[in-house]
Amino acid sequence: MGRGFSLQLAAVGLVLAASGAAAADYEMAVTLDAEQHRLQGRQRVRWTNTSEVATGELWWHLYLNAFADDGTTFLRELGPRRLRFGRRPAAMTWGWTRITRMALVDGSDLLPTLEFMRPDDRNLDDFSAARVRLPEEVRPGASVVVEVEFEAQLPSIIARTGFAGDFHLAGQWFPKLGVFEGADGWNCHQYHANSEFFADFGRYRVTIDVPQGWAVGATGVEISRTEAPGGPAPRLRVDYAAERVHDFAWTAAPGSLLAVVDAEFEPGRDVPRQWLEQAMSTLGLSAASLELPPSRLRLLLPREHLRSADRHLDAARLALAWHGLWYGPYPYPQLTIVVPPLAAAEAGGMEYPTFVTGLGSSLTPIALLEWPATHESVVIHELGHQYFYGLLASNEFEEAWLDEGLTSFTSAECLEAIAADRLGPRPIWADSWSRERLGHAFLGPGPAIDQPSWEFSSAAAYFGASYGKTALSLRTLEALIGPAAFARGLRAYVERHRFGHPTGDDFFAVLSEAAGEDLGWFFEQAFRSEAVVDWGVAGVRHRGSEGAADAWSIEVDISRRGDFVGPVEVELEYEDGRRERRRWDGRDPSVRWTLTSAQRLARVVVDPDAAWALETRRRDNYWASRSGSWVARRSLWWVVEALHWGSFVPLPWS
Amino acid sequence: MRAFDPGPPSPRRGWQQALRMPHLVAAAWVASWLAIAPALLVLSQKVSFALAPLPGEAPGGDIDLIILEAVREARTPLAIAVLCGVAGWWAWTVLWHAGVVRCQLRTGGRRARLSDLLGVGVASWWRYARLSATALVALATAAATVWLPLWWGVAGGSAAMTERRLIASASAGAVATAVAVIVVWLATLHGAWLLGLPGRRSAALAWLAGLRSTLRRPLPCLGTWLVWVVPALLVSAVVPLLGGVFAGLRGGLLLVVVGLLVSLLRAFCWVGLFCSFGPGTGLVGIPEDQPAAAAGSTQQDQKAVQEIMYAQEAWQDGR
Repeated sequence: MGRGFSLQLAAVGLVLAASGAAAADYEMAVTLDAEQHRLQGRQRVRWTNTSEVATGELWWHLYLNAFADDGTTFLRELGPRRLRFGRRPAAMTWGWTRITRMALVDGSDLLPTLEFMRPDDRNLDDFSAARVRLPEEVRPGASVVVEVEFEAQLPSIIARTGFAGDFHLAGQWFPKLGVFEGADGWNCHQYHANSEFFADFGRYRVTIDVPQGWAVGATGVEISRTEAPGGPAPRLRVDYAAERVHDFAWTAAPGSLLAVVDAEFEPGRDVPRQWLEQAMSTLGLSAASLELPPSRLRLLLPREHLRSADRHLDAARLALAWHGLWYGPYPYPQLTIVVPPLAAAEAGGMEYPTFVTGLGSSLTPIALLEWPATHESVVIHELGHQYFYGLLASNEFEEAWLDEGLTSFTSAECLEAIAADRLGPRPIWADSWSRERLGHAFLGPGPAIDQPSWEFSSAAAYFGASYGKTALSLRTLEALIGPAAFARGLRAYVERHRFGHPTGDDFFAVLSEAAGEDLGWFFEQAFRSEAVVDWGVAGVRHRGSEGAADAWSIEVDISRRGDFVGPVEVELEYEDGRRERRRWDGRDPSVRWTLTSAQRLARVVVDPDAAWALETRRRDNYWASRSGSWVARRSLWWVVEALHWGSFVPLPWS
Repeated sequence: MRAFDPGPPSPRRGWQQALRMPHLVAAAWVASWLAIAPALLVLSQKVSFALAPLPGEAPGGDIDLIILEAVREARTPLAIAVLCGVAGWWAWTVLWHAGVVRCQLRTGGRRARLSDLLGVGVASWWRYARLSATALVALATAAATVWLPLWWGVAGGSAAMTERRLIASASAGAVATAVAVIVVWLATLHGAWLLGLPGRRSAALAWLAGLRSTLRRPLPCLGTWLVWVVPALLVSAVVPLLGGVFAGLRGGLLLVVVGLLVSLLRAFCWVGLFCSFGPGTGLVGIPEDQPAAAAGSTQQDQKAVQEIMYAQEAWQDGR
């Protein structure tokens, strides 16, 4: 790495450190007992009340307690013996966090006031949230410093955290403050199967103590490492620093298992020229204002996967370039990517600030759907979360779509740009948007998007609404207001709310502003209702005779079969090939157009460009005077061939 | 009782017999189309109809969405049609296998009318269905033996299961499964002929005897299998390859005609493969001067051997 590159990175760090007052700063030291997979931790937390209301409480997340036994809210919601992807091992090691000391710096003991809280479901078997009472209220603008000592047991790998063999991924491993929202009090939900996290930005200084010879990766940047040789169990101590982040995750495993690969994102080399030009023209910005800072990339992956290191790194570079150009520069000096081993695949595909996990196995069904861009798809998605989660720390408990849905949208756009410019592999099975539409059609219209994650009826409903349906809603909105207005709106949303806790209303307001119109009608229906988009051609009737000019009187009936109201285009194609487009506001349940023409209509198509990506019942959008079998024969050809091959099946046993 | 051994398989014999039974080849050809006809009918009624109004260039994903929508609506009749097709194809295969064995052993390989062949096939269909069930159980047992430990290894989250090991295990599993399929197939082919011998009633014992015959001379068996199955697979790949490379040909008349020819060749291969395992040269392993004593001592066994001897003589005369 050149000296210039290091100086640039240092500048990025200084800018981060200097900007803004943090709400929650953590200084922590943690020691890993690699045999027991247990953590001994100390933390000193400075919490600043950034609201305008005083409070006499501190609320804490104790996330690992969600894996204490089958009675917790998380595991009840997840279902018996289940993991996020697959089934739990028979010999499950349960996880927990035990606070052994909690006191203010003046020695006031807070532990006697500790009370477990169940704000969401009153489940007395759940211990994932707690509060302590302070001897004095913390006034607006004032700070309080709390010292905590804790012991934590990492569980067998489950839901993004835990251990598998010697591999450890420590996510949500420390007592972590909720978010104080002034008059609304503390926002500190229990850990739910379908939810992720919500926390304040702050400065983290963390010392991680692991056995010597182990590979370590973590949020932020490594600032020093000390080896303690000698003795029966020599140790390695690594210090990390992270500015303006809202979580801290780390991984550790023997060096014989995990390899560490360091690389760089150098904008001059890694930003495709055509992407820069496209962003300049769409966003109306100069090349100088789209200039991106460099970043360091650190990849930790199983040694057996070393051959795929370049794929992860190239995908990260392209994702940094894409997201940087369209949504603003990645503001941190380093990105760490961890590829878990197969046994810890449950930890794969997860985002933490400046720290993401790739795919633990390229052999899962989801991975195979994305083949051969399996690794790229995951890295790009998780890197997208560095914006919609990392920089814009929305409340993932209450509005999961703000991070999952926006990231699904941006990563689909990024994957399509990579495929279009042949900069990387493309999933062989359909393009990203076709896959999203098919997935949405498969799951059905689903519930309203904007609702607390634990209130979805099932994991499928949560995933369908928060990921695919949101991405398709945004894709629809992009078509309705135009790509330029949409891109500027999304960029403005990121710029205005970075390092903040934006809500859905913030997002809607910025997009409306960018579009120059109140888009409330769209947001209310797409995000806060179960309205279904469905149009169709209800009928086409011809009256008259051949020959004379204006001989045909044609009635075209278009109907709105769903309850989602919005404007839609209709294309009329006459028998002489002439085409005409009409726009219908869609307010009434149906519309009848009476046309006079010398030619009969050959075809009518509602929404011919599929601008309403949310609409999945497309069959009745098409009407044709003559049924052609060519499209059907061609489209179903593979199915017929598969049926022929199916005749091989009974032969070996008949 | 020592087992009868129909002798080594002979592709040449299968070729000759398949040529002598063009009516059976034609029937197998027609049956292969009839088997998929119900599914094709449902597809054309439900799915093709839904796609009919679409222009050649529909927006991205629309065709897939419409297929999904139409298939979802037609899933019950489509599932029934596919199941009926599989069941019908299986029942037909069992039927003509039974018929060919009985006719061959009865007439010594002389040409039989299709109606006669199917008539005697019907009479012993149930016995051959039991043979098929035995083979299916063997196949399922082999597959479970191969794949369940691997599944437990992965699902159990064993730290020792790295991706490299998983790929190696899965590859080994795939090879083992392929071997199991071939062995079961060969044992069933042998077993079908053994089950036609007089006195044989137990399909399971016939299948086991077929397995023993297969294992006794694996290379000739495998060679015969390859001679027929590889060409069948290769010709079957012609249509997907042409359609895959030349998208414009999909659904066109040319590929329909090629598909018809391919299925005819495939039907010929299946008849040839089956007849390759029929008896040819005698009761191998049984002294020719003491067939009855070697075959067994009961009256039933002696009668059975006598019938086989007559069949062999008839076979030789027929040649």
